[in-house]
Amino acid sequence: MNVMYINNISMNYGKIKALNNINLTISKGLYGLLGENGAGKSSLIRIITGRQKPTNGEVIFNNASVKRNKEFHQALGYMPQNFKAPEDMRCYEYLTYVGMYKGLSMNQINENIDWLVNILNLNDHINKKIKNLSGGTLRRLGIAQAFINQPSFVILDEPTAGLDITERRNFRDFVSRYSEKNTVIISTHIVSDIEYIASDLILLKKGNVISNGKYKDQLNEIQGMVWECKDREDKILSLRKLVENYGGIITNYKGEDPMENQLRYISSIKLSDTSVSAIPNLNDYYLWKMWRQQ
Amino acid sequence: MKFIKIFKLELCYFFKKKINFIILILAVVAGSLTGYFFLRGIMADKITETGDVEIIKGKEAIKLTAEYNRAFEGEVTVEKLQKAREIYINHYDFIKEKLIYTCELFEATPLLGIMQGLTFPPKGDMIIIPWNSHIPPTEYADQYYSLRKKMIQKYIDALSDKKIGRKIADMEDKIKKPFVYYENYDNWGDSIEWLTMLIILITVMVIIVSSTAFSETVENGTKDIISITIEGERKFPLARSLSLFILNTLLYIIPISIYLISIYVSLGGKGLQTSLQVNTPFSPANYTLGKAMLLEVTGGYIGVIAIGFLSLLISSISKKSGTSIIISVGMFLIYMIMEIFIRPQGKFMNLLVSLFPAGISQIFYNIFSYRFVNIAGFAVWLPYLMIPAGIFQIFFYWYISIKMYRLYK
Repeated sequence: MNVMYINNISMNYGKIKALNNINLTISKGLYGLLGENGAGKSSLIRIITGRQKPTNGEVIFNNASVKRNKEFHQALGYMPQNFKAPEDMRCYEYLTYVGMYKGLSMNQINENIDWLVNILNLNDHINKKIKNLSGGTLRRLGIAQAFINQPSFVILDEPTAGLDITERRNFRDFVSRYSEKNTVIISTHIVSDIEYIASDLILLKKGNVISNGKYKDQLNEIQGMVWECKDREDKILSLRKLVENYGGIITNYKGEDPMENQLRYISSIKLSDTSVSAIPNLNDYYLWKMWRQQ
Repeated sequence: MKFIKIFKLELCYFFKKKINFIILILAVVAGSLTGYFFLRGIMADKITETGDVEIIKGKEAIKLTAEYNRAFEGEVTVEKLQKAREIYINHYDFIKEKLIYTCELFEATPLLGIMQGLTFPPKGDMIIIPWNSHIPPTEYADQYYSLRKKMIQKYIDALSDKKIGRKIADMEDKIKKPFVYYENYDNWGDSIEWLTMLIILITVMVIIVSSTAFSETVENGTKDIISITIEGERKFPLARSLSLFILNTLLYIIPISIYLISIYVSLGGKGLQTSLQVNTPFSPANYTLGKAMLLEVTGGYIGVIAIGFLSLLISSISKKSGTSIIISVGMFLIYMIMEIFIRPQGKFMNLLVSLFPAGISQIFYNIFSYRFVNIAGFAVWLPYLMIPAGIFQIFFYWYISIKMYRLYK
């Protein structure tokens, strides 16, 4: 089984600290790397993939540094944040090109292209030139190239940006199944991308890991603290003030219907009679963690 | 994966790329058109039946020039020069101060031109034969070779660097005399100017192709994907730059070959055996026109390839191809402006301009100059220095561009 150790990683850009002493252990499963824009996700990914040298620390993959680690590079599949590809190439040419660089034979490349084309619904586009692809299809091509070598360690940086609802669902199904036997890291600021499919969560804020652990364990941290309330607008507005005064956090609010506003909040105590306990979700946990670190 | 596989992959990518293909076609068109316009522009004076002079062009002019040249072609002996002198005197109307044009005079023209060469001293205080724009110094026909030697000796005596003086004398001794010329030698000589122009056109094409080779991988995301593969990080920059080298070589060889073949077919190859000194006595190398052309073609190739790798170096540190092209073309234009309009006066700047890749591709014009550089106690003739300097720059820019590309993430 592949194991990656991220030891004391720090990254400074001049006086700006992008990452501050990050320590993580990554093995099999689907890891959600969550954080606001500028939290340091992309810097961490660049360092993990060996494309950037950290100011301090090291990344170890199966007992060797990732830099010039043949085993790691063979196991790696990667999709960058703003995926782009040469516009003059056709999709299959591009996948072949990447496959060759990953050291695959033509038979392996063709087999894997067939497999990925079906999974990612690229059948109608495989012979098209890249310049003629829509944003969503280009994104799926980006996902396909990351998986062309059937990698055991996959890093996807904002993979679902530009995908429609069906494509997102298909993507989630695919990576969820894939991560049963392999490591998949999905970096995103869209919480729903990894909700229910992530086995582990890593939350980054301003270059610091503010939470790291099993998804279920993390949600258990706020078990019994999440409340939902449906009431008249004036009552909900009063409740909002109460939540803020008691040091709670509002995670959702719907106020279209004045007779039945909805409020979801996190608080260690129930703050109104009409509030009922709710099952915590990733959005609750994320907002709660982010708020606590302010 | 073996390097050759990656190299083939990059080569395929390069030739499939639309813009590269278009530029390759443009290079073919440039080679063909340069040859066509040069040959079409060749002119000759024809004496009509009424005795008037008619200017003819193209194929007919080439044929007629060859016919005129055949009368005296071969060794430029003192006897031939004296004969040419007689023809000139017989055709000159001293009362009207006008030449009477006949075929015989046109046949003697190359020899008159050779004598005219004696009136071009390198410095004013070394004048042996005064300049007269109308009358060739025909009275010196029987002293042509001795006067030429005297001119060069005067030049050598005036030099403060005796090593350079000795070197010039050595080189002069090696020049085969008597000089020779063959049919269409003048047209071959003129063709070098067109060849130089074609090399400049190719240089611009090579700059455009080269200055995008690395920067486009940042723009189109290839670098992000390829650099995380072990083969990509190690072999991609070398494979791509080697493919670029092949493409640039083809961009040079194809149009130059088209141009030279079309000229060879039309003019024949005899004129290439002509001594380089028939047009000017000041040329220290024992070259024929053919050797000089070969040097220009070689220098052009080395210069063009070096410029290609210099552009690749700029590309390796650029995020955008547009920026890379602007910088590379800009550098070339600055060089051309300096070369054509400013002409750097300082000895060092002058040398630098000549040793810059674009200068190396203009090597032909340096063959006619007595420019020497002292290296480790040896006086080296500049054209002999330009070629190794160009080869050094090829490898230097190549190495640095790969280093910078790997470093610049």
